[in-house]
Amino acid sequence: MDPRRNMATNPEKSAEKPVVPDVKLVRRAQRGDMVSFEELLLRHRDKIYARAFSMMRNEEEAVDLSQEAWVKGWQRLKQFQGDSSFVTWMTRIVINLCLDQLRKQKRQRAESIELMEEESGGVERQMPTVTINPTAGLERKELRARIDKALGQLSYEHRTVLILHEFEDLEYKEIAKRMECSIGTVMSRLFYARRKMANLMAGYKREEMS
Amino acid sequence: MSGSLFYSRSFRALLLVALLASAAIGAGASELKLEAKLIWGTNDEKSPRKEHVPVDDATAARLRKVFKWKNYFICNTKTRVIPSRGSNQFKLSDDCTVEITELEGPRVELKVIGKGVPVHKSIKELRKGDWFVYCGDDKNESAWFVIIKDLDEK
Amino acid sequence: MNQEFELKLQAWVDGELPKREVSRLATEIERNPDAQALLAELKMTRGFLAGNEPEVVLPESREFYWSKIQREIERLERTPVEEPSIPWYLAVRRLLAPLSGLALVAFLSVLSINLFYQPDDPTRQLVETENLSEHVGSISYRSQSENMFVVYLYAKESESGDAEVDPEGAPVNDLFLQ
Repeated sequence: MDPRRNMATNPEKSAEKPVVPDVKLVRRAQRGDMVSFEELLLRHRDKIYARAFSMMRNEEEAVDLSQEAWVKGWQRLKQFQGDSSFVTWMTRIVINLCLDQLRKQKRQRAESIELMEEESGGVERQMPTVTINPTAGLERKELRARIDKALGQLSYEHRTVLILHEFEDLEYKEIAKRMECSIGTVMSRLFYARRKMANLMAGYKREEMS
Repeated sequence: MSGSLFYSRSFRALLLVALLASAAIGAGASELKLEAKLIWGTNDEKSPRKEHVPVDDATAARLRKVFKWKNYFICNTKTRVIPSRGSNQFKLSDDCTVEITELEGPRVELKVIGKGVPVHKSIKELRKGDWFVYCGDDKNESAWFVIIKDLDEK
Repeated sequence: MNQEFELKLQAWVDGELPKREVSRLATEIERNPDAQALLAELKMTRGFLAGNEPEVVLPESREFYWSKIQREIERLERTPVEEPSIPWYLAVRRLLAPLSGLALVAFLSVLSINLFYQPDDPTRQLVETENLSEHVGSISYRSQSENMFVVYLYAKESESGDAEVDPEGAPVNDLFLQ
């Protein structure tokens, strides 16, 4: 008997394996099932890596930090209570690792006078107000590419506060706690970052038109 | 008997080596001789204060390479010895004091105190020939500078 | 418009402005075209960022990426070997001989560090800075060509645009020269 015929008349056997929800995989992994943990990684590795890359802007560092986040995730899995989704919980871990690394790098770096870049002292007030939406008519892929380019032109402080607010939906207070600065500093950095983004995007639009 | 003699000799050897080690460590953590200068930077040809003296040419050249002002005047100079793992203060004006603490290795902590209120703190290595500079804007588009340098000959 | 007003506009856009300030701000915006333009820009920026985080794909194969993580987890999970406990007097005796050797090594190490210390180590550019006052900001710079490390201190401006007065002292920009 042709097994394919059997399959054709027996749809249940030909159906795809149902997707196990994250919640179940987490519970299995909490009991020590590494295969389930690997499945969680397979599903969410890009998202965790993307968060690390958006903050660090360096592929190698982002890979290392995201791997460190997964290792920490495994070690702390029993502490995961399910108050948020698993991917949100993992994202918080990688964000904290990136912030630690950025703080370490900041302590080792001072702006070079020879390569000095103006990024404080009211510079944002000198930027003209953007009145026409520079993203109108853009395909999503192109819009994301331009946003990525603009993010790369911000300093790490401004980029971090923008990412945490706009993409992680954290409130000012939470951002201030994570970045170890005052709420006032968060607000002024976010303001500068937004104004700079608007002006950069307007600049790209002008380049496109000319 | 022979056991206690062994321990006694070991202990004396240990004490001798420990004393030698601590002497070597103590020699490494020596005191620092630092100079702090309060300087006023301006594009005016002269300072309104008679006691202000123009900086020497080499200092002026170095400052001009980094900062935008044309002329620099010394308002005050203080030299102090910072004891090993200790602190000392440089009172440069009635409102400005810099406190320096010697930390582990060649690192120092520099604290700026304005009118009795701590304003800023930095931790840095200082070596011969380096300048650590605090600066800020002053009236009429001029600026103030506090330059700290290591005077140690060795 | 001063910075405080601009930040309030932003807080309003983000839903973080205290309720008691909302109606007053709305009244001020109504009679200020610049504020209206800035508000529109802030809302527009929020709008084009929302849901448009750049997508990035992990640049390593799943197997390779996972294998490194798995190895690290397994390394960390290997339990340390416990040493059997011994009476304290025997532990002290065991320490005496190597301790004297350690002290000798320490002495020789300190001597060698003092003799061979390299002054041009790039890690000597490390610095930590900290603002101790809310009214003062700082920016750090270094000039490699002049062997100079600079900390620029500036007063954070108040609503009136004047230099902010430290409640415990004088305006920051008058702090050092009389």
